[in-house]
Amino acid sequence: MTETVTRRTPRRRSVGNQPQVSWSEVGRRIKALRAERNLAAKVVAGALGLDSPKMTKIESGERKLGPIELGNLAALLNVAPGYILYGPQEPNLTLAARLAEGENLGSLRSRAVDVLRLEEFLGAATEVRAPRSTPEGEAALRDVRETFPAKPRTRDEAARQGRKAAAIVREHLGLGDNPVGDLPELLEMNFAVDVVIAPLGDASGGLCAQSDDRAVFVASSAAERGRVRFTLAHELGHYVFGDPRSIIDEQSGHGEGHELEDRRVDAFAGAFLLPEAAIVRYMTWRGATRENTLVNSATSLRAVADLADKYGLSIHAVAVGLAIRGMTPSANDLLDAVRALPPAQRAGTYSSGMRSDEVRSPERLLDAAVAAAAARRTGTGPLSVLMNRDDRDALYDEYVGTAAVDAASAALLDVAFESGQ
Amino acid sequence: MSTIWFVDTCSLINMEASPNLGGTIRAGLQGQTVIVLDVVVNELNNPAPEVAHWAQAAVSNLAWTQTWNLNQYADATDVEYWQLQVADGRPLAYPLQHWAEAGILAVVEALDPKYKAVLLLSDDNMARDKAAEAGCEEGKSPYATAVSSVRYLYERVQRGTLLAADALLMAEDLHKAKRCPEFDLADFTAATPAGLGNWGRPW
Repeated sequence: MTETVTRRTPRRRSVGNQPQVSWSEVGRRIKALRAERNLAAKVVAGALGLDSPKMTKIESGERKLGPIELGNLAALLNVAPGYILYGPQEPNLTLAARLAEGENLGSLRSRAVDVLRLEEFLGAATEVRAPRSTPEGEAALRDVRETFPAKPRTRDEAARQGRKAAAIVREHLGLGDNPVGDLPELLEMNFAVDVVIAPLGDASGGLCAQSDDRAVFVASSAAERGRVRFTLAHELGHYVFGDPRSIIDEQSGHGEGHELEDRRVDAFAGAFLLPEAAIVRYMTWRGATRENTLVNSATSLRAVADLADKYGLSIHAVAVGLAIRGMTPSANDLLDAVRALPPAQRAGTYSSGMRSDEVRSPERLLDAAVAAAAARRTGTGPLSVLMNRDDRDALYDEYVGTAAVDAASAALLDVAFESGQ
Repeated sequence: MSTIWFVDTCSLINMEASPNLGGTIRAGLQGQTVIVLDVVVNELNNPAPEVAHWAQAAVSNLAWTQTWNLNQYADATDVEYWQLQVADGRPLAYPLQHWAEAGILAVVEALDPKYKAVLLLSDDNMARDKAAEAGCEEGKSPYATAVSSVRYLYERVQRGTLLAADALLMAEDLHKAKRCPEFDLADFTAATPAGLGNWGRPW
């Protein structure tokens, strides 16, 4: 039963910029999706309860789809209704569209796509700051790219270039030999990249994706804490050297022919997070001379654990740094020896070897999500995506504040319940 | 003042998962205009396997409602718009996630102005959050709000038309059927529905 329809005056929608639908494009998309799935028009028409002439009219754009038909078609073709109506909802050249290409994206790419796509939704509800770099960050990029315009030819050259580039970046950012505190924030602030961290199952490595106006680094916090920072510094290495690849996905492998670049950015990451001068100064102060480090003395082992903790690196990364400088004959032996220390002697945030399970999303998107939720332009959905959490109550309380009872809603409930009793 | 209720798929399933809850809601809404959209019936006819028996029972138990055709009130683009609003920036878990609820919201948005109080009985907590947005003309107070089936019980307890102990028994039915979290008596007698968590929203 349907009553006579007298619609309310359509109001201006406050959230979302709905694109215009072209029914001839809709028809073409349906035809293409049907062909991809080897479904005859007759079969699709039958599933939708339509006759063949109606299906033909839909595919030629002469007939609009109703909401029930669209839903049935979306279920049959296993695509979102929005895809049938509008096609891919981002230009093919955008970073999110490029990252979403292909099947079995992997957890790093999937996470990047979810976060990048959220920007469009948030942008319809509130102002979203564009990523911005600092003059110091821009100067560092320029300097490194001008100093090393070509790829390294040997392993030694790759390592040298990496270490030198790290020193250049540190100098431009005024870091001296000090530990880098909040690495993701430093990257976002100085280099206009978005940094995404989440516990992504067994994902290892990281992802660096870039387009003309966007760059995003993704790391899995399922790895130990120091490893996550190393991964981000590694991705920064790709970025500062101006690696021309738009997507570098360590989860799915670099492909062949990039071993030297990889070695270069590993050297960059190690030296950026822990400069050689810092190692020497710290170990000297702790009385960890080359001689007693070479024999893994207790003093040296404790110093290595503390150094890892202070500079936010895994013990393995510090051990590699010492091996490169000839301060230990074997990074692996040193690692094993430090791990054999009693827990209290290596129980710092980084040197404990524990995974962090940290969730972090770009600050600019988080700011926008909080602003949109506080202004009731969105719910907690964007926060839920960015924080990778489903506990909506807690998200409300933490980011928006506990809602007061809404007087208009209470009045409507009074009307409805009184008329029912 | 003319009141109208829209009931969604999850609520109809929950009314079968707890026959006492179903009976209480049906009796409580007797004499009011209660609408089930054809898109909801469509979902009930294509249920997830784990709720198939309840969905089937719900379809055969719709005589207490009126069925409206979604096509009559909204077009495909309206429903797709509301689907994305309900998803609220989250990726869709499957193509038709929130589709029936989005259909309800599209109808609420286009509803005849004679309806001054529009209620969604919806157990999709994200859809409930959007009821006031769909049912609100520019510059005016919303004409729509939403309650979950558990919040419905809470409102009845607050108005003295249902015992808190009976409400709790029905909520326990749903909990045993793995359809909602566990609640206690105080959640139904408290001054605000805060204790019901998501099931109490929107306030």
